[in-house]
Amino acid sequence: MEPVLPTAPSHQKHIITAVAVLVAITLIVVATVAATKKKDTTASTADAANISSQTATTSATYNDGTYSANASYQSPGGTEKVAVKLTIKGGVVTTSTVTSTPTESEAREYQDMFLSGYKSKVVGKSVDTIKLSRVSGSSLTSEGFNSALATIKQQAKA
Amino acid sequence: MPSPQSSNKPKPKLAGQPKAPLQPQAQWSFEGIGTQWWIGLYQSVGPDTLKSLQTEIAALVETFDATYSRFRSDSLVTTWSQAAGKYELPADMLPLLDMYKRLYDATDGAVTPLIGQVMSDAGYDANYSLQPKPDLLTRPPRWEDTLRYDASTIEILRPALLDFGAAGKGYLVDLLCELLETNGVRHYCVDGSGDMRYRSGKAGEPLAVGLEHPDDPSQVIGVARLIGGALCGSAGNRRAWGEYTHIIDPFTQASPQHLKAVWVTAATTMLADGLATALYFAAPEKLQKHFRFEYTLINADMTRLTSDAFPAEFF
Repeated sequence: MEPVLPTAPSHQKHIITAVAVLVAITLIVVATVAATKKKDTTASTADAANISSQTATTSATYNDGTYSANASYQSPGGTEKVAVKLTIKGGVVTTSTVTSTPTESEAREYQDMFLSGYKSKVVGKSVDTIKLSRVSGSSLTSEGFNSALATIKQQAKA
Repeated sequence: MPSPQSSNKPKPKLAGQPKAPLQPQAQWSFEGIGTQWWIGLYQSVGPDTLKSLQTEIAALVETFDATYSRFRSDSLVTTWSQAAGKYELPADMLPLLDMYKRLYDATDGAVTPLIGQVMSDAGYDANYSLQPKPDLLTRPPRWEDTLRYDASTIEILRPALLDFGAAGKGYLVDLLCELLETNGVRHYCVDGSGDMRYRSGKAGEPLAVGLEHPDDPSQVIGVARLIGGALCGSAGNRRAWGEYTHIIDPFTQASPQHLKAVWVTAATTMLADGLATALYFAAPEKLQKHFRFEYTLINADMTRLTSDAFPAEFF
């Protein structure tokens, strides 16, 4: 699943939706996974009735601050809870956490599955624009390796 | 559980952003063990001391290569690949063997120096043929069937091509740091092409290290700030040929594809380097039962997993 939480880049500002929407998505995803997987029991419903937030806003711009929301939903195994916290600065979500306190082992499994998918994609910046002393990544290789690699690439094209 | 996004959390050992990168008072580069090296000294060192340091370091690197390189016909490792027997253990080899044994045990045999023949048959050989020989690829022998060692001797029970690529470079970084310290240097960075160890001065000046984008070396995805200790990275983008990278799973003889890059910080470069490979085979939580380290993993889908105290900010 695609993460719905942008981290910093300004071009992603518009993706940001209100906290309530985020929580709703969280619940729907978790509940849908649960429902799809467990066909032989009563279908669960995403019930986002218990959403509360400190300073929730639904306007197009977002005030700086830390927002948090708790929600519960009914799973086949009982009531499960999810807490979402995010910090917005200059219209961008700068940090976010999702914590779950599943009461039932299967819910834990599904929530873990969701949480492990809840990760930001990395964003790159040109190395020239940042003040750095060193860079770490893949090791530079010897001339011998590089020329061998160039040769097989050439052969592959031929 | 590691926090997936922790860029704005306060972190231990993370200092404020300096206005400009640290400027070394002396620095030099050289090629050694098949890669590029850079050493920076952030304190004044007399010209004679500097010259003798450079000479000693060059000699140490050459000795290391002559001992551990499986690409050299005259190396000790090549000798061991040709004849079983009892050999005298080189003076500095014990810590490296101990580290490999710990990594081997912690990863259920996935990190192993016995991967040498597999690497070679996959094409990463002395001639850099980069031509895999699939018919020859076979599971390497078990450590306990092949190697026995104590503080002074190593017994090669049957000839085997050893590869110290996982932690060897890190160990050489540590040896060079030791040499600098012995000569009174207290504020330095030894960088073996992205695997580095840094010691700050009394003011705790951080070293800003860009974390290279796994798909684009002209970009970085974050900045680590080291106060002291080692940072090692592992990514396949420069050492990839066909389906292979510099990391090959001994059990499947295939290169893991689920991670694009790994970074590890630890007290020593040997440990950080070895773990940067081990994390391709074992979950961080499992390795944390055996070793102290922090990590960042970049998955194949470009998502990131970072441990809470990994000293870096990501964009």
